Parts: sequence; C-alpha cells; structure tokens
Amino acid sequence: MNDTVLVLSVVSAIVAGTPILFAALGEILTERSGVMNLGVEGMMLIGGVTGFWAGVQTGNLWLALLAGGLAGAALSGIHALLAISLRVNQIVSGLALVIVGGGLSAFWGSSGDDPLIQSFNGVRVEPLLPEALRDLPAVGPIVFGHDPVVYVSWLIVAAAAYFLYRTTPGLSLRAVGEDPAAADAAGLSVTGIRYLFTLVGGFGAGVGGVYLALVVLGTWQTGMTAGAGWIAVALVILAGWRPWLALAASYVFGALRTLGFTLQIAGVEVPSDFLNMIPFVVTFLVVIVVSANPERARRVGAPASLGEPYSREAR
Amino acid sequence: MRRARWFLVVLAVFAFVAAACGDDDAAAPAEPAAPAEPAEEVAEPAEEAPMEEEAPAEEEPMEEAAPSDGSGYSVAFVFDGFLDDGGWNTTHNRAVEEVRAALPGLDIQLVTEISPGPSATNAFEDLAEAGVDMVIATGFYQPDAEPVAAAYPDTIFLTWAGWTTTDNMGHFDGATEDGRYLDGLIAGSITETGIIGYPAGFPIEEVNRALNAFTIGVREMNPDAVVQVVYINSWYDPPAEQQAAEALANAGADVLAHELNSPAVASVAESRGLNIIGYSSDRSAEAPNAWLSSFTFEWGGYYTNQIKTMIGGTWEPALSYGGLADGFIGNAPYGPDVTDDMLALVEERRQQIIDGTFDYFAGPLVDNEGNVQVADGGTIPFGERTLCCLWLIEGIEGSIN
Repeated sequence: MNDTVLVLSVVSAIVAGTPILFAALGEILTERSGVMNLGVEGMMLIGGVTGFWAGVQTGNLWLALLAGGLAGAALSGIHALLAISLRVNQIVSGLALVIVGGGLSAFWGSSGDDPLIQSFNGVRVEPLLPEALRDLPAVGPIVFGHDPVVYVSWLIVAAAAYFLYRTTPGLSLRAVGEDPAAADAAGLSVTGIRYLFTLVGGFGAGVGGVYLALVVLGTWQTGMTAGAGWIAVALVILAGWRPWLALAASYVFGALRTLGFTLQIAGVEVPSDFLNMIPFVVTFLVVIVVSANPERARRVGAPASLGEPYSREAR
Repeated sequence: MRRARWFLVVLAVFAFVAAACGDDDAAAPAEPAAPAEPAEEVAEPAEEAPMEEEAPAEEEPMEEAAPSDGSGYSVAFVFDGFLDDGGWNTTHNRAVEEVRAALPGLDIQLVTEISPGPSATNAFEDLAEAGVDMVIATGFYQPDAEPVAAAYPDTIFLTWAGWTTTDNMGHFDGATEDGRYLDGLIAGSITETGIIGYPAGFPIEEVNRALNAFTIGVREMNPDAVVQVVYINSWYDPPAEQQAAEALANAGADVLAHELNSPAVASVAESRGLNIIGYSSDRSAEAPNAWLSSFTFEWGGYYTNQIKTMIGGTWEPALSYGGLADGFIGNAPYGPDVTDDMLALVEERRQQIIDGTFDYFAGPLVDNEGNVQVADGGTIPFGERTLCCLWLIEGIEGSIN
C-alpha cells in the first residue's frame, strides 16, 4: 500500500475508463457500418440492470456480463429495426433509446418485493495475476493488478483493430459504412452487416454497463451511468473510430473524473462541472481541428455514410 | 416517408410511457412491502428516549382526543429522490412504516422524486387541492411550501430544515452532529495512516456542522489525525461518489466516512481494504469487512406524534430540532473492527450527551484557518446549532469556498 498517488490514480483511471471503453468499442463497430446509435447511455443502463440482476442471481461475473451484453444488444435491435429497415432518422431513434433504456432500467431496478436497488452485489472480482507480479513497483498495480475483465477489454481492443484493418470481413464492414451502394454492388448484404454490428454495439454498451454496476460501483442505482454513455459517444469521434485510440482516450477520460477530486484534495479548486465538460470540449476541439483540413477530415473522419439510411431503390 | 413518421410517433409514445413507468415505480414498492426493518435495527439507548419530549408545546394531546387509528385523515409524504436510495429517503421511508404501524387507518400517500423548486410547489398545490390534511416534505422545501401553505390554510405543512413557521407550517431537523461525534470517536480509534476521507455533498451548515463534530470525535482519540473532505456537489451521484472515494483512498485515507446517499463509497472501502463509516444507513451488507458504524435518523416517533396532534386538533407550528436525547438520532449495528473498548467509550459519551453532562462543542474551537470560532468556556448552544457552521474546524483539510 505504499504506492504513490500517481500510480494509484492511474489504476483508478483504468477502472473508471473500462466501462467507457467497452461501450466505445461497440459504438465504433456500429458506426463503422454506417449506423449512428446515440442510445449508448440507454443500452448501458439496460445492460447494467440486467447484468446486475444476473450477478445477484448467479454470483457469476461472466454470466452477468453475458446477460447484460445480450440485454444491450436487444435494445439496440429496436434501433436496428427503426434505423436500418424502416430508415427513420437515426438521431431521433438513438435518443429515444436513451429514454427507453433509462425508463425500463429504472422500472426493473426498483420494482418487485425485493428490488435490485437494495440488493447486495454478490460478485467478488479478484485480480487475475499472481501476487508476485502485482507487487512489483508501479507496473505491478498498473499493468498486472487488474481483474480479468480489464485484460479481456485489452484483448478485444487488439481483436477489433485486427478485425477492422487486417481481415476481409473487417474490410466489408468498413465498405458498408463508407459506400453502401458499392458494397451492395459487390454482393455484400448491407442490411445484414448493419444489423449485426448494431447488435454488437449494443452488446458492448451492455457489457460496459455491467462492469460499471458490478465492479466499479458495486451496486445498481437508477441512472448510475450519469453520462458515461455520452462520453463513449464523444470518445468514438475523438478516437477517430480507431480501437487503440479509444483505449487511450477511455483511460484519459476515466482519469478526468477522479482528477477533479484529486485536485480538490491537493487544494486546487476546479469546479467539478468544468471537469465533467472536458470530454465534450475536447471532442469539439478535435472535430474542429479535423474538419478544418479536408484532407485530414477524409483520412480521420467519420465513415462516409454514417447516419444515412441505405435504400437500394432510392439511389 | 409517411411510414417512418408514424413509427416515430409510436416510438415517442413508447419512450414516454417507459420513462413514466420508471418514475411511478419508485413509489410502488413501498406500498406492499415493509422492507424497512432488516436494514436497521436500532436497539440502542437513544430509542428509549420518550418522543413526547421533542415538542413540549403540545401538552398531553393524546389523552384528550379519542384514541384514533388515523381513519378519516390523510397524510402525504414528499421525497426529493426515490425511496430505495439506501440513504436519506430510506430513513424517511422507514419512518413512514412506523407511522403506518402506529396509525393503521391513516390514508398515506408517498410522492417521490420531487426536486425542490417549481415542481415541488406544483406537487404541494395538488396535494392541498386534493384535501390532504398534512404534507410532510422530507427535503429542503420551505421556499416551495411557504406560498402553498399560505393559500391552503386547512393543510398542515412540515418541511425538513425550514426556518420560519406560520400558522399551518412547521419544520424539523435532526442533530446529525450528535451521532457524527460518536462516529468520529470510532474513526479516530481505527485510523493508522491518520487520514480519514470524507466525501460530502455541499458545503452547507448542516454538512459542516456534522463534519466538525465528527472531527472533534476523531481528534479526541487521535490528536494528529486529519479529516480530508471533498464536496461532490450532489447528494446522490454514485459515479462521483465512487471517484471521490477512490481519490481519497489514493491520497492515503484508510478510513472513509461520508455524507452521501449511495453505497458507492462503502463499495470502494470494501474493495480497497479500508474501513467505512456510513451515512444514516447500515451498509454492513455491502461492506462486511470494512463496516464500522453509522448514526441513523429516527423520524418515525416525531412523525407519528405530529400526525396524532393534528388528528387531536392540538397541533402547533414548531421548529423541532432533535438529537440523541430526543430520539431523533440512533445508530446502526457496529462492524467487526469495532472493539469493546471503543464501544464502551461510545456508550459512555452517548449517555453523557443524553444526560446533558458532556458537550463536544465546548470551546475553545478554532477553525482550520486559525480563527477562534468559539471562545474558551463558550459553546454552540443546542438551540442555535442550526445556524452553524460556515467554517471547518482545525483538523479538517479542505475548504468550503
């Protein structure tokens, strides 16, 4: 326990950033297919409440993560139906998802004779690696001291990056997001791929919600995400739709929340409201910097057909 | 395109229904269940203190009125959050169950998630318009209740921490500091690093007063210990509570206490191997190893008494401020790290405070900027405590500015 404040703060940042990372990775894959799903906050909540319920019932972290992921995917299925098949405005549909997810999770979490909101979280999450590694100075806590889910998130980042840039299905995904008409002409199922990755995005958000509820907060509380889903949405833009950048940005944003209190303890008064704004202000700045230069915007920017419904007949 | 628009309408309706369900349901579970008992068993001496004492203006009202089970009368409780927050609102909901048990015929309504402000004024108006006899508003509602009380003289309003009474409006508050001083004795005995982390809501009088009393208790046991406070500018924000607790643990705190409502701080204490002093609720389920203790609020006796005097027709507006001696403050069960020696001292001090033979606010009290706030021989009289404190006592690291 003689680690420095800095080391401990980095560990806190990683823990706080992990839920955002899962949600952002999911959203990256969704948006890469050309579907914008702003409902991350709602999917995290519905995933969180479902996963917390599963955790309380089974005591098994992995079942809880699976259940929460499936719940998030189910909610994103509504968005997929509306945005892809019915071609409604994706922004409106995504926002509605936030409200539906918030309402349903609040309902489920506080209803019944033994509401989840009063339940004790029975899932204990232990560090994965042996104590000898964890006790190393600095790198011990920062690299080796985490629970298994953090290592899974690192693996998923690597897998997602490999998938997007090194595999044919990843190329197909990007093609659908950039130019669905061309992808369609090449024989890809635009609708199928968009459905699949919208559900994958919901799964990621749901898993993030479960991690937040079960591991970070250790409790289910109504509205517990408190904007984490929106940070994930902003982070996707900030990271330029790239998994590795999302990893770094998640931990930076995770650090920001604890940083406010660390500064307060050090006697530096920064209103926490300002710190809470930083993720979004930084996102603004990045968007401005990127779009100021058309060449850079083309290289870093959003998938070209992001947010645009695809209709074969409408061309 | 038309089809798309139609779907949007359906979706919007669905969304609002779902959101509304969520709101309503916060109130629902209180109806059938009586979930209050398992959380806190307050069997400590404080509870024996007779409730009648706290409102001396009302002389023996119960004897004159025919014994009533509350039939024919209606009372509405207004909450600023949801009943299951496990903190502030849960303490009041527990009191509602006591009222229900004492007055089974009483018509009780629970109105939850009413933020102070215009929505509270609307809620009060609706309740008064519906003919509710007494509105008990469990949050900081005096500014919202005042105009409604003036317009509806037949409805009695009680609000928490109000400061002016009218013919049909009274107020109540609990002397948190009584319980917090005792909690501080335990925290001061336990800490090894000499740093106690204290995430709190807002730097207002009530919070600072309790924090000062807590720190006095801590330093009685460990004169070198410091209490590190951070304000999160919310009463209930699990992520912020968690992050504040993490930051305090990172800064070396080995005991956390808090004045916040979610279990997040207790959860951090448990997962990082620290100790935790709760806020008005038993958190030993969330933090079985970390748990030390917490004071509790016991509003049930006061509410029952107020409703009975209202039924008996002898209700008088009052500012009721009660501590250990008045039965407003109790305590949750103690955790495994609390030794018998610590308990013996706590019980001794508790009895002395109830008897009036010990005053933890006895001067001199110096604030953490070096100013003498209470001179040697002085104190903060019980009746004037609600005006205190816009200063933090020596030993607290942190600032209210």
